Amino acid sequence: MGTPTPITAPSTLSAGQRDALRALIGLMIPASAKHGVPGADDERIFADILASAAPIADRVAELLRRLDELADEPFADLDPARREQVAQRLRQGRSSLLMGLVSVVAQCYYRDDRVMRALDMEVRPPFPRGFDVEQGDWALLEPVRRRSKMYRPT
Amino acid sequence: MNSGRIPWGEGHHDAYRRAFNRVTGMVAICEDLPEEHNMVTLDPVLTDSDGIPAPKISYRLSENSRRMLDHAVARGTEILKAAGAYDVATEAPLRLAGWHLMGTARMGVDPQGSVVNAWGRTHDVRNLFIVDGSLFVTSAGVNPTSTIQALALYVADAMKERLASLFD
Repeated sequence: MGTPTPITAPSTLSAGQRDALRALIGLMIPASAKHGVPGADDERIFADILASAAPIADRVAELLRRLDELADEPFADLDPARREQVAQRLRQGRSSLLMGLVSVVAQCYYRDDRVMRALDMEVRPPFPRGFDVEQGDWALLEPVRRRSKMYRPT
Repeated sequence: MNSGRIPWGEGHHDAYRRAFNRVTGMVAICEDLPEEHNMVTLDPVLTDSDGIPAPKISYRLSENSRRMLDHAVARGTEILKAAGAYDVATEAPLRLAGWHLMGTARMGVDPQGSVVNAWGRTHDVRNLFIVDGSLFVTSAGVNPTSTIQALALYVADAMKERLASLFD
C-alpha cells in the first residue's frame, strides 16, 4: 500500500515560525543512529507535522511566541544548549498548547514508514486487518477472582 | 510524552521501546447523582450573534463522585498490578474524555413525578417534545449516543403515529 496523501491545508506559519517549530520538535524526538531512525525534524516527518497541525496553527503560533519570550530572542537562533534550556522551561509550564503539539508530533513521527520498520511493525494502518495480540497468562487474575465481593447486592 | 514517562531528547527512543507494545489501560465510567449544583442555565452575559443567550454549564465533582472515582482508580490499579503491571499511571477525572449531560426530563404518566409522557411529549407544553439524553433517568454505564438516537427515533415514530391528535 502506498503512502496516502493526507487531506491538508497549507501551513499558515511564517518561515521564522517554521524554523522555530522544527528546532523545537528536533529536541522532542531527535534522530538516533543507535536505533536507525530520523528525528521528528526530518524533512518528510516535519512536512507531515506541519500539515497535520494546520487546524491548530494559531495555537502553535501562540506557543512559538511564548517560546521566543522565554528565550528573549528568536528560539531558532539559539545555540543547542540554550535551546535545550528554554525548551525545558516551556515544558515545565505544562501548557495545554504544548500538549496538543506533542500529540501531533508523536502521531506523525510514529506513523513514518522508517520509524515503523525500525520498530519491526508492518508498515500499514491497523485498520482493517488489525493485529494479533499475544495472549498473556490469564492465571494472573486468580487473586482478583478469589477476593471477596466489593459491591452491595441489589 | 505528555505525562513525562517518555522523555524528550536523548532518552526518548530507549524509553519508548521499553513501553512499546507493553502498555494497556482501563477506563472507569462513573455517574454523578442528580445534584442541584450541577446545572445548565442561560448565560447572563454571553450571547450568540443573534443575541440569544449562550448555555452556561456549571459543574463540579461532589464528594460522592470523587469517592467513586477514587474507588475506581484503586480497583483498576489492583487489577492491573495483579496482571503484572509495574508502572500504573492514573488520571481521575479524565479531562480529555467524553462527559455526557443526561437526565432531568424523565418519562412518566404522573406529571408530579415526570417531565414527559411515555412518548416524549412534555406534560406542561403539548407541542414540546424532548428527544435527547434528558430522557435518561440515570447515565447508564456506557456511551449513551446510540441509546439517545434510538430514543429520538422512538419519539419521532410515536409522533408520526399520532399526527392527527398530536397536541390534544
